[in-house]
Amino acid sequence: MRSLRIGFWLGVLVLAVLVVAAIVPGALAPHSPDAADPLLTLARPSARFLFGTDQNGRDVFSRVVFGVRRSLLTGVGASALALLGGTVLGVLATQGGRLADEVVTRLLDVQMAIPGMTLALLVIAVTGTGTGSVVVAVAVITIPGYARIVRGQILQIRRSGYVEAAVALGQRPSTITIRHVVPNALGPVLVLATIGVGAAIGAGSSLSFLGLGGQGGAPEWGAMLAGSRDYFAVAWWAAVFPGLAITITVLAVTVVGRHLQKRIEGRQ
Amino acid sequence: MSIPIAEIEDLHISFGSVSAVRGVSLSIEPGKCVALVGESGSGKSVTARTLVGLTGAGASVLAARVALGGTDVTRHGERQWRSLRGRVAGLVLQDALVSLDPLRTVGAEIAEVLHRHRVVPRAGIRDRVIELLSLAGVPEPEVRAGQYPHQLSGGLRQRALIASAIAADPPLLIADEPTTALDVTVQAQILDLLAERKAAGTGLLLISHDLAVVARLADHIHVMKDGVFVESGPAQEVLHDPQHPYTRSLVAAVTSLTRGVSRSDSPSRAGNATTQREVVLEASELTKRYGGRRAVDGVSFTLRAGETLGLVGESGSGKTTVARLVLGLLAPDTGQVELDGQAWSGLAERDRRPRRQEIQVIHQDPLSSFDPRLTVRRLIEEALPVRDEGRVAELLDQVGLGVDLLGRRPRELSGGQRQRVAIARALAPEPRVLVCDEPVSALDVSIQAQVLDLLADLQRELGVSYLFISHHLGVIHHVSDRVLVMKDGRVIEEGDVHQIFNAPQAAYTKELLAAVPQLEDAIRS
Repeated sequence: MRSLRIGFWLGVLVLAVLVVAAIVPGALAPHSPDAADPLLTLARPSARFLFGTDQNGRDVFSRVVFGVRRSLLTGVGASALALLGGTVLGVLATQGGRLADEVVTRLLDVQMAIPGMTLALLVIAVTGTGTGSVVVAVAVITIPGYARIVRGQILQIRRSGYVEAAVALGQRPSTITIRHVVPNALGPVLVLATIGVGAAIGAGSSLSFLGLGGQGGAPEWGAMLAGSRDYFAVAWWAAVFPGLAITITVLAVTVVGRHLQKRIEGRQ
Repeated sequence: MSIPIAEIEDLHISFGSVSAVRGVSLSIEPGKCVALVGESGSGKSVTARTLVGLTGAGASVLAARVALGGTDVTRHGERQWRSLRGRVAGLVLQDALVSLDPLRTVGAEIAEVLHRHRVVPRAGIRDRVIELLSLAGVPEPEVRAGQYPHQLSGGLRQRALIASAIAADPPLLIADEPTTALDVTVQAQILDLLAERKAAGTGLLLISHDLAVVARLADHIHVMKDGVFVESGPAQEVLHDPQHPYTRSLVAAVTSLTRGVSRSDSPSRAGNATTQREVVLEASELTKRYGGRRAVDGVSFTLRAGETLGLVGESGSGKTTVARLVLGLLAPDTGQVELDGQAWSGLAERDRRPRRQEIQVIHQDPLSSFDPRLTVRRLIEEALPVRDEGRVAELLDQVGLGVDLLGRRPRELSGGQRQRVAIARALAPEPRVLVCDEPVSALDVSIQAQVLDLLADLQRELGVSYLFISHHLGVIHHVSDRVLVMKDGRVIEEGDVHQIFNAPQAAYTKELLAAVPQLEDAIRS
């Protein structure tokens, strides 16, 4: 229990630093992320360049710091979008009668049968590359998880004593859904979404690694990994530090999310 | 005086900074029954569990002495405890369904104990299992041994659990609320079974909130409250001449419910003939099937203004289905319900909705009937036709609660407070009929009496009619004007409360009444 606490606070600390980096990256980064120095390409980590420089002579540390905003936005944005879509589908399946339920759940089944990355590539093939497309693609592949849980929660809550009490008080079905069912169904899903942010950051980085994210050399962890691929044998730092950034961020978000989930489950 | 099988001296148990038990001592001799009586949270279960080393994670236990069979066990580790559990002390818990492994047959469960403690040679295990089951009063033990817990009724499961607890023939049996989950006729059988074990020389530690149950078995009673014994003594003395105010209140609460002081005995109600009043609710020939089973089978009754109709029956008798039919939450297969002389059960929900405020309900478990996110203020406001701060305060006042609770959420209330809030909410739309489905079954005895009194006062003030459902005959006797006895979905007997309780006609009613443990009988004997 004690060790779990420490993990949680460590996660909170990491997230706090990340949020600061996302809001005011200039406060943490010593250099501009785009300041390329052709004389200092692939320089080793040193006091001046903490994480070394990349193939264009840009400071890896500054690029990692400036990359936080995009990574976090991708993760949070994709999770929020998936949560919204999942909630809509879940409500539709449960409130729209038997046919709606059948259609929605079958569609979700079909969607889940397609491998996530393949589907994400398909979405980007339609929408074109860019950060927005990555967010949408990641949201699309995570929607079914949310939709299923929202559906299950709603079905369970509809049988609950307090919904019956509301029926007995003469409240209308739409009022009951908005006031009692949906808010109570969302609690556990929100926690799940917190954990989902971590996974979404990972998926988003994978897509930008494939060159499908923001174009034009803006600092992005996945893209940094991709760019450093050819120089890995001589300059491990250009790949390892962005990779570590992804790993630590995903870990921190997941640990904090799981802790919240435990708290909520304990309370119930 | 023989050597005690179990002794506890100056026991202190705390969970973190919360002290659960403070300085209790007891001793149990062979063939004697010691009872711990108290309400929920008084520390009785955790006290008993120290005798099997199961106080739970996070408990810190301090005692001058804990001894089993003369051996000090205060320094025992988990391994040593395992060798004692079952062999020296058997444990019987309240709910046998959760205490038995759902994936194993009852026979396998009992065989495990025999195997673990090597009480009989391997070849003799099967015969011994059958023997134990029949000892525990399980009919057809050969068949039952091969069945899984969910295939058995509540009473049979409890017997199987007792069979496994006595398998290694422990000199001490700890029974923690062994009959609380059972119907009254089954409860009587289980108590008889425990009495048999006692007569056979087993020491018994009985834990119960119900003094009437304890009275049947106990030789010595410890009354527990907030972690201390407030009164201890021979059973007869404690029951007959309670000294501590808390014990007195417990005895009073139980006697008023078991002796059957009927409310209609009181002068204010005498001559208060309700038969002339208008009918507010009429059910005729209600039938409801689930699968092939008739849950409700041709039930008819009328409820008049300001009257209480008691609906009594054991689990599975169809009481709650009747409640749901009457509330319009379930449509009857045949038959109909009329509310205020107008069609009710046959209406479409759209037409029923505007009239729903005329009939309200309170449940056994108010917690589940509240949206957990809402405060008391919001919960009551939701039931009002228009938002009205003054009316909310008035309703809280009517149910004896202060406005200081307005900001609390259901989880932050005590059981009694929750049921009061549920009553306030049900009264908010000014209903003519209130369906009370086991409204006090989940409450401690002293709180039960308060809630029943509150309901009686409200009826006098507001003239609301109650359809009062309970499995507890004492409660039904206490509150009802007329009584309906149900069994297997049918009405077995119907009549005035005095007639049902003093001169029952149906054999089933007689059987039910005979099974109720009576505190008076125990005191007199």
